[in-house]
Amino acid sequence: MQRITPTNFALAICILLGSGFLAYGYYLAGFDVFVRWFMFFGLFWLVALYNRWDWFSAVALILTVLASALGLWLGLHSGWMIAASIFSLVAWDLTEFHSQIRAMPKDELKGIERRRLARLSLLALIGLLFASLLLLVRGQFTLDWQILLVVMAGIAIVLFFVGRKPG
Amino acid sequence: MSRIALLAVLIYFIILTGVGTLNGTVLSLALPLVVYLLAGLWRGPEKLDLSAERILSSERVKPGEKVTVSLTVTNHGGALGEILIHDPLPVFLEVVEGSNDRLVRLPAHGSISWSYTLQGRRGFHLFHKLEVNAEDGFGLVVKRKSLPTSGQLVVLPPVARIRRIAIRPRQTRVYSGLIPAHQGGAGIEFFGLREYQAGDSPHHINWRASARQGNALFSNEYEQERVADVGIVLDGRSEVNYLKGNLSLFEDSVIAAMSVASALLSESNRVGLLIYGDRARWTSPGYGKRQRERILQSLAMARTGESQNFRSLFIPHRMFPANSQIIIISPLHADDLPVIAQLKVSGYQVMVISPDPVSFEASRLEDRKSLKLSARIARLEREIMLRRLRGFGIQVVNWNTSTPFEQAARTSLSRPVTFLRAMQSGRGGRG
Repeated sequence: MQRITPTNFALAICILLGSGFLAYGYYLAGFDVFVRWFMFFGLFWLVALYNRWDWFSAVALILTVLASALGLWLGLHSGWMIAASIFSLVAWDLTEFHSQIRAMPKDELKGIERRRLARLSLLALIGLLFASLLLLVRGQFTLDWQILLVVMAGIAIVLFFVGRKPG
Repeated sequence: MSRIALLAVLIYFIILTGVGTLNGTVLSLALPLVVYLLAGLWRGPEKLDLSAERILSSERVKPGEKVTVSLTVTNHGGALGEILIHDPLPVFLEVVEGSNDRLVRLPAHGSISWSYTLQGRRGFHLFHKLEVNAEDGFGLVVKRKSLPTSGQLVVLPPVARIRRIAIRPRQTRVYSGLIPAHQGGAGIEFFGLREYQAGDSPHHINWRASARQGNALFSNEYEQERVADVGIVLDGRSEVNYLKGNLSLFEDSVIAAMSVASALLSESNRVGLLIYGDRARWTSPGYGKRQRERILQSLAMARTGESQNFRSLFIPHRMFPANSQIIIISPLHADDLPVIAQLKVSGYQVMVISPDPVSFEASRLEDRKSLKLSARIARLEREIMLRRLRGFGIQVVNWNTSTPFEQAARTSLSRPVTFLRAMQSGRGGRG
């Protein structure tokens, strides 16, 4: 049984968001078959995380980026496709970090985890801002995208300031 | 594939696809990846200028005893973001408390100290280095460095306490000890009668024998007790020590060798050790605590080797003169009999302590009729082999390793072999 750490939690959330946004993007365009596959893919990624199959995160990142590229080529909503890639990238990074810190003493990890999560959330926010610019240009800046952006900005700001605390 | 290479390939693929499909939106997918890559490259680690120091709470321990390893890493250069410090452990050592890994930030000219506890199996364990991995914030650019550190840990073999080992070599040394010397003189055990000589204690006059002879007095003569030369041969051949499933009897043999050496040295004998593994490794004979220490260290480092047979077993007469005692500790193989018999023929008094591989393996077998039958056949074959050895006049102790060596030694080694035979025949007669 793996213990629940901030990294574990963030990793699981990123996996769910990555595969979820991909599925949502395809769902909006009516590709229902793909939706099921992407949801199954997300669940399998979580199983891989639980079983410590760290190699799978690299495969998952490649698959997500390929699926996003395909979606963009098919003309799907750009925001969800880019967001899926960003969260898969964060999940891939966190998997590597998670494997590194697995054997470390718990007490010294808090600061390191906090800093890493802050850096990654800032990166995700920058990526989402780029995507937002693109959506503005393409006229796809929808309400659900705005909600996502506001939520992510809030999380990133909180994590960034918490990560700057000494320790 | 490294992480940076994977990212580069993905970015390259997206750009190619975007350009190939003339689709700017696909190109935009590369942006988050490029930002991530640049952020990693921008905050890459600087040159590693580190030194390390290791202190062990003890360098010589008994098996199962815990040792605390304290490490200090000092940074002589600029600040380092996150560095992973890994202390690679020698095989057969395991961490029981704390961690031998550490992920830390090191400020410029700062240092970090931590400790962890380990324990391990018998052996001589050397610590060489600390491995340091410095990364950028995302683990893309990694710099590795090995920091030389020294440290050694000797996990000594356990010693079973044996009160006495009854050996009777044909030849002893001149110093007084506890081994019967086959010579009359001062001692405890009755040796014979001789005519009374001036200076004999009246207590030693055998009045009954003197009365029978009439006009002469006879004195009791006692057997002198002296120290002896004892050579212990520890069989370290993998072929006989390793059984099915990578189970080994060698650790039991080491315990037996150390216990026997310790008991004999405590009786002031001159003891030497030969570990016969890949090649013969001698610990030259000696006396006392210093010799015990030398043997302890040799046995701590003892390893099995690939020698196939005892053919090259050669005991130099300079070290062990003919008629001295040789104790062979080996699970034994049928092919070893001629070599052991040859030692007896050469004049050595030979004792074989044999950890029983048949009982050892049989206790781990499944409960199947065919396996039980095979074990029984193997046991009979071994019994025949041991009887042949006894037929050469060699004392053989067949040690079932499920019983502690102290117990086996108490029943089989504490009395002279003739006494034990008499006990056995007496028991047989009564039964």
